[in-house]
Amino acid sequence: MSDTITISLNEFRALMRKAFEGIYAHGHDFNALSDHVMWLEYHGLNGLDLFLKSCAGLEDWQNPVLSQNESGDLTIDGQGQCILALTDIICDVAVDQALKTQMSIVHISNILNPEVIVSGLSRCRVYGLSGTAWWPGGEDWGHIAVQESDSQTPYLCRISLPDRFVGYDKTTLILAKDLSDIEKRFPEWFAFREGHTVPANEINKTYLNHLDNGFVLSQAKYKLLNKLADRILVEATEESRRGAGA
Amino acid sequence: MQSQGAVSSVPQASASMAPHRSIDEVMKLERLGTLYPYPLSFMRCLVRRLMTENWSIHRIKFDLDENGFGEAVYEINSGERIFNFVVFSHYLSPEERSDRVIAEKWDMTATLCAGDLTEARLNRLRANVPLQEAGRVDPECIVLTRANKSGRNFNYVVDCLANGNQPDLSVIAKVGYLFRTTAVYGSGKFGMADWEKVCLRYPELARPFMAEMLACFLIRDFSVELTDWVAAQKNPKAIRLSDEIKRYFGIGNATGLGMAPYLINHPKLISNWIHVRELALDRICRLPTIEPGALQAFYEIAHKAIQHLDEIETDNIDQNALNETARRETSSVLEHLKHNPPGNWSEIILYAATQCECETQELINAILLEVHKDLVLALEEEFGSDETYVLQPNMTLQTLIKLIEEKYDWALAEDYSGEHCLDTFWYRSEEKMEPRLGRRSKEPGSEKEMFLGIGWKVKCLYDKLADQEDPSLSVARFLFAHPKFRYITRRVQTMAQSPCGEIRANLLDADVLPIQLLRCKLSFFGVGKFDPKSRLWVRNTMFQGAPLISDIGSEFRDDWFFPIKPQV
Repeated sequence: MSDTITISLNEFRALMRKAFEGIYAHGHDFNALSDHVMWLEYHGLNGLDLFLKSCAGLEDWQNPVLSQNESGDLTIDGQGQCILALTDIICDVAVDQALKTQMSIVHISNILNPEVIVSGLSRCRVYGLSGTAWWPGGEDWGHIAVQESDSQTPYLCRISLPDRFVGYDKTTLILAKDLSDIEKRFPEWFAFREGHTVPANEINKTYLNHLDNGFVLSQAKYKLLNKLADRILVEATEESRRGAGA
Repeated sequence: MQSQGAVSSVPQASASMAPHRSIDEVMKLERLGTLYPYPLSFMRCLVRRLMTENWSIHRIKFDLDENGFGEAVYEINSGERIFNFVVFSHYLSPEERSDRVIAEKWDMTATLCAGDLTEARLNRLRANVPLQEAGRVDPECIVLTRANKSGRNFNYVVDCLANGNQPDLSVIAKVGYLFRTTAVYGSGKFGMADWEKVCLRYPELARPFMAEMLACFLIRDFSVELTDWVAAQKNPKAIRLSDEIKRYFGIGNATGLGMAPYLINHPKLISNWIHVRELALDRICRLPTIEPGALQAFYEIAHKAIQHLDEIETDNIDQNALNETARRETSSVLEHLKHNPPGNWSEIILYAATQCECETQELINAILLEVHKDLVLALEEEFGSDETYVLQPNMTLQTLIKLIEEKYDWALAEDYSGEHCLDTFWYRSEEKMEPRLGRRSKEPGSEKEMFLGIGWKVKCLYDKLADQEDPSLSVARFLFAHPKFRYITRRVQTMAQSPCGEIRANLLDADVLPIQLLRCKLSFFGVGKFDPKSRLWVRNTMFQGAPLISDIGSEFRDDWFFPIKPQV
């Protein structure tokens, strides 16, 4: 038996939905959550690994805390959780604010797996917004993702942190009608791009490859995913068989 | 994300609904459960396409033993590319034959696939297709399906042919098919090609359920050819089934609860399906006069429909009563028209709306849609819909409350207070994930129920919104504190633009009739001859009366609806 299995994207989608449903029942928007994992995976950003590593923690949901300073910046304390289950509601408040005030700046602290924010960022174009997110990688380097409103997918860069941000440990999400407004306000982030850029068309190619050839994962991960998805299943009894018309 | 039929979007406008009834009336479950197939039903679209585009379909392998067990391969040339339909015919003992999803063996299994059929690939298909859900197929497979022989018809027809006789129509009419499908899987199940891939790589199949319907059409051909084959093996002097009788055989189908969640989980798509149908009716209603030829066509099709209903045999008392009502009332409508010639079609529709039951009203509508097929077919490209449900995070709670009051008044009007009102829960069983219904008050498992009680969820959201102190708060801020309402909120906001998507019913009521959901979806497939076996599953017949593969290339009239016994 092969160590790997090839599944379609729809199977992956269905498994993820069921896994999230198994974790949260109807306590979260499980369709949207699974879309984030798949988006990351489709675009070469290891969403499945991230999910499988985080799923134990996901069950222990804590309400994040939202506050706003005098200049209008939003601050979110993620309560030490993986950002996966928070991404949608964080992006929602960011979009809301950007649509009202032209630009929203959200500082997110105390979270795990900040890279998930790229998936949330990619949705801002639906609202005619552009945006950027950056998050730390090491002491003096980090990542930046940039989504333009007229582009299908964002591009990613590894960056050297601007001097005044060395040691910065927050993830920042900024949305605006016009990307140039963000660049003007935070020029240092855009000036420090270096190597390892993943352009949008490369990200899209990964998706098409999965679509044509299926998505390959290890049998071990497949089993684990199925085990999580199976939590939504109800034990079969004679009475339950009658519930199917038997 | 997109789903079946996501080809293009049709403008959603409540103004273009048929003038004689409201959206709320159209979307009542009781009415949806009376819909009949019409010219844009997916089987009809498929057959029209095969015939008018002159697809070429050939059996390139028919390697069966004297009992009909073995392999067959059909080659389908769409003009753009070649597909194959690979069939495995197996021995199945009578005690193993079951229509249930939980069955593990079948008389035949098959896959419709693109790509080359190398020996290595055939070997993989041999090893996996017969296993169905327990197997894995490759990303160039598009449909995976299976079917069982009709216990009543198959051996009877074989014996007749082997003895040199055509089968008695009155015997075969009771069932109407030789094989019955029990599942038709597509859209990426078990490693197959995703719907998005079908749209991208095999655009000729990128219409709602077209690949699945094509697979059923090919099973039908296999069933009649297999019958001829087995009869010939029994007796070299056996005769072949006449083409008239072959056309009269459809392919049976058994549909259970598995089909129901689809209608609830794809409301934008369903909205388009219903909207296109209503738009077609609207166009007919707006015709200022009735041409004499059209009135004559109406009479002819109505008489055919009455005969069709008269020939249906089912043990289900309720279905028999519905068929009888539709027959009797349609005759009355015809009688009325004789004495009161209508000025336009609206008059007939209004007459039916006031004088006839829902079942008959929808039959009359289906007849009119056949009479004015030209107006209907112009809408064929409008079936798709992208299935994104976008949250509007900057909407105020006040606006959301108003939206619910306006667009989901049916959900708010429902009484959820009685014990029976929420007693049903829908869930997936550990047995092949089969969807089932449970009684909340009696059975365990309700904590794992599926998200199908949309009306109730909307009511819960509405109540929560009403509790908020600041109605000017944005939806985003509300959902930040209450993420469990995020899905239902974006659904409400999205579906407010698509009036026909939500079925006006409390699917959690103890007395819910899932069979009405099944019939609604099946009517869009083009299925007829409903034979309910309980409130949870139904047998039906597909492609009865349709042209045969050998008819492709001949004159095509697209008149195989309301199939009746052939004159032999």
